[in-house]
Amino acid sequence: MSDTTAMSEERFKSLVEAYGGDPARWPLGEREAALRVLHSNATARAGAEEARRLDVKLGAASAVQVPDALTDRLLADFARASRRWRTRRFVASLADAVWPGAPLWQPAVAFGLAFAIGVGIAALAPLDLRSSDDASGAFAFDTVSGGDAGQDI
Amino acid sequence: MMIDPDAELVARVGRGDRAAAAQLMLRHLPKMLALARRMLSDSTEAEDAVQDAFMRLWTHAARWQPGQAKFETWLYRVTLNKCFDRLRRRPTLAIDSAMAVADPAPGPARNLENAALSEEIEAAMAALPERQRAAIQLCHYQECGNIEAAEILGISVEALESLLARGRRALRARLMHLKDEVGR
Repeated sequence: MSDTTAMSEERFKSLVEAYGGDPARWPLGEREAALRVLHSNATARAGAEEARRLDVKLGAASAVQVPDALTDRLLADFARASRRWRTRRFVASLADAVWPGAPLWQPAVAFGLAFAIGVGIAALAPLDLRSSDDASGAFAFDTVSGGDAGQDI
Repeated sequence: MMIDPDAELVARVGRGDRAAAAQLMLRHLPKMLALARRMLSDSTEAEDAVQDAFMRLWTHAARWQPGQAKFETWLYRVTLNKCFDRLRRRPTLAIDSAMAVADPAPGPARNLENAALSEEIEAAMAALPERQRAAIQLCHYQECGNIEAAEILGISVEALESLLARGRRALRARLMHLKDEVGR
């Protein structure tokens, strides 16, 4: 982006105070105008030079190195997250096969309701094993007796 | 329309492509870690913050809509917010203790003088208010443009310039005793 407007000394000062003395760091839209001020004004040059001295000092900070353990942790997280997506997608495709085009919550609610109704019916009509002459109850009793008898032999 | 250099990789990550995840990590992890370390002045906590940010990326990649925001901007904003969350949860540290936990200089080749210098700069950065520190980290060290940095911080460009100017003034005062030849 080229800038043909003139820049005031005041704006140049603010620019240098914020972005430093290196023109490469100045906002692209104002760079040309700022360079014109820099080349034509000794006070501006002195201000930019002072800012550049701080830039150089800040540049002496050490670079960050990424520990291998961190990259391993992040990739392990990725593997866990992608397993979860796959499961979610599988459930979604299953739901779509049962109830095409519906959002996932609709078949989930239908299944939940069916389950709740089933549990409700079971609770309201319980099987009373004590009072019935149910064959399975007798069978269970016989099995236990048979086991004891076996151990006695 | 702006072309996002990460869009394709993010789409592949969303499809569960591990190679794309590794490549995206390689591209952004060093800068994200540098940002988090400088914000938190603690290597372990910085790594945890970056891990939280990546976890958010892994879980949101499939829903990423290209064209809404630049991916890198979103990722740095997430990282920065994770750092701000951690800073808010922290009991207030005295400046001296923040300096004490500044990252050690890595690499055997670095000589002692440079390591000490680096620590001084880290300490001066750690002593800045968090938003000034973030602004300088983004604009000076990560070389973000002013519009992108303002977007990451969720502020106007004018507010960003104010943060940068105040931060640089404080750094200049704090590093005044260092010789000007430093780093050349």
